[in-house]
Amino acid sequence: MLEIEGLSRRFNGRCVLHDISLHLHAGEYIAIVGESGVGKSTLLNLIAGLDRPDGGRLALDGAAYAQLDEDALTRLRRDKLGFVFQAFHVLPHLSVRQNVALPLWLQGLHGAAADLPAQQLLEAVGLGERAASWPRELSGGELQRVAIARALVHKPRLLLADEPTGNLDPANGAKVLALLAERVRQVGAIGILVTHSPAAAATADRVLHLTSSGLQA
Amino acid sequence: MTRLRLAPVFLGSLARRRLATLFSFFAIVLGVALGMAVQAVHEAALREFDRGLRALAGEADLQVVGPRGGFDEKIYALLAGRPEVAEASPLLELEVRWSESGPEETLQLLGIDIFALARVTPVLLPKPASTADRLASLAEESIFLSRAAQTALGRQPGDDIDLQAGTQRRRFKIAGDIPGAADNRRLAVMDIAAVQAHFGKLGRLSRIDLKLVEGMAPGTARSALQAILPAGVLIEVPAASAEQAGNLSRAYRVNLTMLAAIALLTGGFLVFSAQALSVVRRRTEFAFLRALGLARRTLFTWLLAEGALIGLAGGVVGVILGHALAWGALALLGGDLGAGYFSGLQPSLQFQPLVSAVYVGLGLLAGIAGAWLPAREAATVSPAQALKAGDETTLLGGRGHPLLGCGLLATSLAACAIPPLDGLPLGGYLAVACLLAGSVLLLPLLAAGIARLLPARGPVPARLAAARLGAAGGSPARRGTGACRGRGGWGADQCRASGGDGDYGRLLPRLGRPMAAPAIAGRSLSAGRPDTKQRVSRRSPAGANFERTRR
Ligand SMILES: Nc1ncnc2c1ncn2[C@@H]1O[C@H](COP(=O)(O)OP(=O)(O)OP(=O)(O)O)[C@@H](O)[C@H]1O
Ligand SMILES: [Mg+2]
Repeated sequence: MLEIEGLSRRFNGRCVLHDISLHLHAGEYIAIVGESGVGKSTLLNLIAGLDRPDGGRLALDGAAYAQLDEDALTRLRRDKLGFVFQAFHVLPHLSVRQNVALPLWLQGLHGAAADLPAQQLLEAVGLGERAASWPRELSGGELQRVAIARALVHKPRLLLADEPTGNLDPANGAKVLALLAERVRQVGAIGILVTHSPAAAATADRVLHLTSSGLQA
Repeated sequence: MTRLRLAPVFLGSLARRRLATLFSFFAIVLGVALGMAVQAVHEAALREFDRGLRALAGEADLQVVGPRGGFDEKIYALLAGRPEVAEASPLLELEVRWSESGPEETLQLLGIDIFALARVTPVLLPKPASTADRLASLAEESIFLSRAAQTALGRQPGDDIDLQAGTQRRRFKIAGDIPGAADNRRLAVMDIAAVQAHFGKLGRLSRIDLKLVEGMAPGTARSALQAILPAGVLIEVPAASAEQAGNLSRAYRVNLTMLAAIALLTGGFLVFSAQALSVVRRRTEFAFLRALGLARRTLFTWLLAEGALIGLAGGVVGVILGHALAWGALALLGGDLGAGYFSGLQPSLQFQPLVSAVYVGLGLLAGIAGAWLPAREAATVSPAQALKAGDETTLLGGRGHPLLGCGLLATSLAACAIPPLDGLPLGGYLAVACLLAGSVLLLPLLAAGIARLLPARGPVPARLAAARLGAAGGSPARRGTGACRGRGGWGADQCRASGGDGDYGRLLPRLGRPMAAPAIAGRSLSAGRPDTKQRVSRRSPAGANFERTRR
């Protein structure tokens, strides 16, 4: 369970997020839409523990972020979070399977213990046959599917996706979104999708609008 | 173990940036090789120099000495036949007394074999007073006195002199002097057989001077020869000369050591530059890995390990190359690298495991030291910030340190006025160091200034390069390569699409041409999306920073 209460964040005295509250349970998949610059990425960074809030409370499965130090937050991300970015961030010097296995490597798993789940996830996103390929041999849509496989391979409790289709054409974007929704539900994680596009948001169970006055349904 | 498993993530990245890695590698190879070569040449030359100096100073490579009563002269035959020994000179030393009027004077009497002496310690050769007396040195009753002895005794060549050792008393004729004897040394020299006969020392020797065959290390010969000598007879390296050689060549040695140190320092700085550049370029990658849960410490350790690996490889290759260079330099220029200190000497190179290991270690150190700051930088940067890309300017200190740079240049000038200390130009070294450091610190400002002066005309790539030069702050490392950066630029690399849009964002406004906007917004515009926007970021120091437009 993800609890956000009265969250605020300011940059150089300018208030970007103010009094944001949100409670999400396992298996919930929501979309957050909002204008550019309204603070969607900032909110995701706070939820990911990549940034610290100026006020309010954040907790995942009962663990309050405020009580965690830098290392503990890093461990929290490693064990419980999955990310999908607009820029796919697929490492070019690792094969497709190695890229997917990366979160498992970070957890200390290796060999078959990392390769098998990676292969399974690749098959689930329809790229089972491309496991040995290099990222440069894949299209943008395929790369984003690799990123989705990587975000889910370690069965995270919370999946964060920031504009996952920002670099894709509409057809590929729709495919990737459908896949994301399906996989998140399958893993039973909390899913948060950030996007500009109402069409993309519609793939989620619930859509929330982020405006300067807060988060509204 | 868990850490080791991340090797593909980091080493793979290292291999992918082959050019940058090779750059660092060669920097270290160069530094270590130069240092190693100078050191090897220097050691070889010094060994040879030392030998030459010994010969000059009248000292042998090794000396065999015995107990008070001396030792059997058979040992002479034994040593002269050994393969290590080129020449052996038998000596019999006695303290003799002379008293005629006034207080008793003592004199060191040396019995010599004139032919052997000429080959081992020619400096002690006696010189007959008149050419007619050429064979005088072999005559039984002839004796040669050093100038100091002649003065002390008030005698001249041609005079007679009575000398006493123990109970034996004899009269000799002064036949000449010993020009090579040290100024204040009261020395007398005569034929060894005569000394043995006149002073009851038949069959005895007190010392044998040895000259070793070419290329034989004194230490090696010493242990081999000591083994065959009877108890009580010792073999040693004459003590005084080593120190003397050291003093004579000190300036030369210090200069070369400084040269090697500067070479290594430059190598370390080049690694720093290359590593800093590589860290900046992989900034987004690291931020992403940190987001995925890579611990700070692990990232730091791995970046240090990268530097260490390059340093180690560079150190090993550098030591090999250094020996090759030293060999070539010795063959071509001689032991003084053409400076003329050691003309006439033929130094030979010897592999020294310990010194070589030290230089490999220095390479390793340079690699680690060069990677340290960039690694710390990468580990402390906020992932949220770095994931955005385009804020590289904040890295490694904006506009350099112009004030400190100017201060260092001024110090450098002032240091030139420092007079040499104890014969060493310490002020000069300080000036060189300050000049180097000061220039490095001033480079960013200088580059930005030059970029501002460049006309905003000419082909687009040249203008892009100029804009880049002016826009990228901080590290001089990025001055050279930043402008040519191709991969990771906007849309150039799908795998890391966010890698470099910030760069283009910064430099396009500087071009001040209408081409900029369509170029940056190209994708969305051509797709004809109505909601395409250009956003001006408040982050940018230049005040105008286009970010990629989105759907
Ligand atoms: N590190 C920072 N320092 C200063 N201001 C920042 C920083 N990060 C974000 N901001 C500001 O906070 C606001 C929200 O930024 P954010 O990136 O969250 O927007 P967003 O909703 O994700 O926009 P987009 O849809 O364009 O990605 C922006 O006005 C931005 O300029
Ligand atoms: Mg955003």
